[in-house]
Amino acid sequence: MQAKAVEHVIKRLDLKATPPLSKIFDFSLARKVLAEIQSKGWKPGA
Amino acid sequence: MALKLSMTCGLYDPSQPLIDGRVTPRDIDLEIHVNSDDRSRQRDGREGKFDIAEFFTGIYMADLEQRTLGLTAIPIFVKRMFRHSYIYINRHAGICSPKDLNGKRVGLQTWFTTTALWARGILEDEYGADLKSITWVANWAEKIGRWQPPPWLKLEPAPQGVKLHDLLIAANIDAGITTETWAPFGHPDIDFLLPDYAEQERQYFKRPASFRSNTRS
Repeated sequence: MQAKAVEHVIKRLDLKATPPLSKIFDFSLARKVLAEIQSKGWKPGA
Repeated sequence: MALKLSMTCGLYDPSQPLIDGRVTPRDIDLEIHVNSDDRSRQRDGREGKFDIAEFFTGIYMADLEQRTLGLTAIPIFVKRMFRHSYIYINRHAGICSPKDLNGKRVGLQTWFTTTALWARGILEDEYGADLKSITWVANWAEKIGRWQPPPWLKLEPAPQGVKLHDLLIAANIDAGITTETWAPFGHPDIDFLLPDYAEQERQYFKRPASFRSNTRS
């Protein structure tokens, strides 16, 4: 989802540089949360 | 001891549980300031008044090369919505479809406003509007790092102190993209560009292979 959102923003603003996603977002928190909910077997809507 | 953090964001369905306390972050004492004024909230974020702020993706991206804002984005999209109903026209401007915007004057709050950014994408990708042929009239200028407008962009400032809504009624602009609600119960000369926006949004959502809604992180 982030990649598609970023792609849209870059195109619409006609930005020259396309940095990698890792330079745009800090994913460390999201990865930590994902690992935690996966380890607990959580599913959406549960 | 809990970490004390302050945060500002608008009031949306995804942020509501944090605001009303139904969801509480673990080990964080979070103080939330709800501010539904996009512009002042964005200014507060820029000025570092809060530890965490909902912020315009476009401004953040345009600044990324120089990183003058001092912000780091985390991939949380607090607001996702369709933008088909945020494009308004003056009924007397001769605009019956999005392609009729070509060559016209279209107002927006700023070039970077998330709503306008996504609406421009919809106009071009879904309806074939020629964005380069349009003269864009911005209510506010944004200074972002060393960002320079692309050569093709015809962007002019709105007269100072005049609202976009009044410019549209006065036919100084032919259409406007705004987060404000100008129809259906506003001025009789103002209408939606896409009066059947609900159906347009349903069709848009059904189409695969591309990202289908406005996001702001």
